[in-house]
Amino acid sequence: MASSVVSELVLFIASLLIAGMVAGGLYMVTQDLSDGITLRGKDLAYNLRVNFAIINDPENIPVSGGAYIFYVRNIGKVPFTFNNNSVVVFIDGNLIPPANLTFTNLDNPGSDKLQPYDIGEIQVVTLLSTGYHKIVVVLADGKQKSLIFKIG
Amino acid sequence: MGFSVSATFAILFTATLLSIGILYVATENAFGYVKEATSDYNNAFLKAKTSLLEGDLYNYSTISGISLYNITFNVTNEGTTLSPKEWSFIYDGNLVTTAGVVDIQNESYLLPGEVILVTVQNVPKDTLVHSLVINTETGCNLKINWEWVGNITVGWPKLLVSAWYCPVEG
Repeated sequence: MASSVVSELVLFIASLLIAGMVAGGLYMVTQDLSDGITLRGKDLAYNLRVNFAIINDPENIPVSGGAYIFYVRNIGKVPFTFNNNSVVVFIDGNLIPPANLTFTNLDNPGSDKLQPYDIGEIQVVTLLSTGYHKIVVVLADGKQKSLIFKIG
Repeated sequence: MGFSVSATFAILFTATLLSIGILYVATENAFGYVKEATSDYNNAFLKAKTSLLEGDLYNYSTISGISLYNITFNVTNEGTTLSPKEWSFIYDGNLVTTAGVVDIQNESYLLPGEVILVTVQNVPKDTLVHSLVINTETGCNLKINWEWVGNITVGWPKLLVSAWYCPVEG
């Protein structure tokens, strides 16, 4: 009789422990899923709020010290990183090496974050022939804008 | 034995309910973030789509024999309400960063149908075509080209073109 009670007790404790472990595992997996869903939602919301424009006069691209100057304006609701590690520039489909790009935040010098409505300058060292060209600027989140401009 | 099964079921059932609750809250929060951001995106898109400015020559001032003149354009809002305080200007290709090059009336908003005066100062009386790009907060731009007809003593500015354009993706 006594051994039956002990074995029942052992079974009861063992089942509680196993149930607790399963519940703990379920909690951890759920928490991971929950964090993932929240993060994904925040990322998607951020990407929807990022927006920018290349605001140059397409017929008159300024040149300074052999570099063409392009003005980028944040027309979105959130700041974005503006430096040669996070922004990629293509001209006529060719990638401009980061070493040939100089980024300057005109409204907040020294900062590599372009706040909403701020304007930044990209100096591109490259050789361009007379005629029409296309610049494509791509941000870290993949948002891209292009401008067809004319040289000469 | 029967009590063990009931207790185990109770624990697992409670854990499952809690998990569903946590997932529901996370999903609802994520949906809220995305919904709000989508609304912002749609508003910005709609504002850009419905914005439109038109530029026309309003006036100019100069002194005979002086090689510079000031030219004023009246910019009419043919679209949705805009905020001139958020505009930037590109004069002859260069972004205007100093005061006194381009003057604009001090208005917080430009309502549909309203007109605002924009003056470019100290334009040289040369034979070149000059340009002013007014960049609005939507990213869309009004471009105005003009030239000086005549010489330093006698002449007048002539508006060549006024164009409205918006940025494109890809």
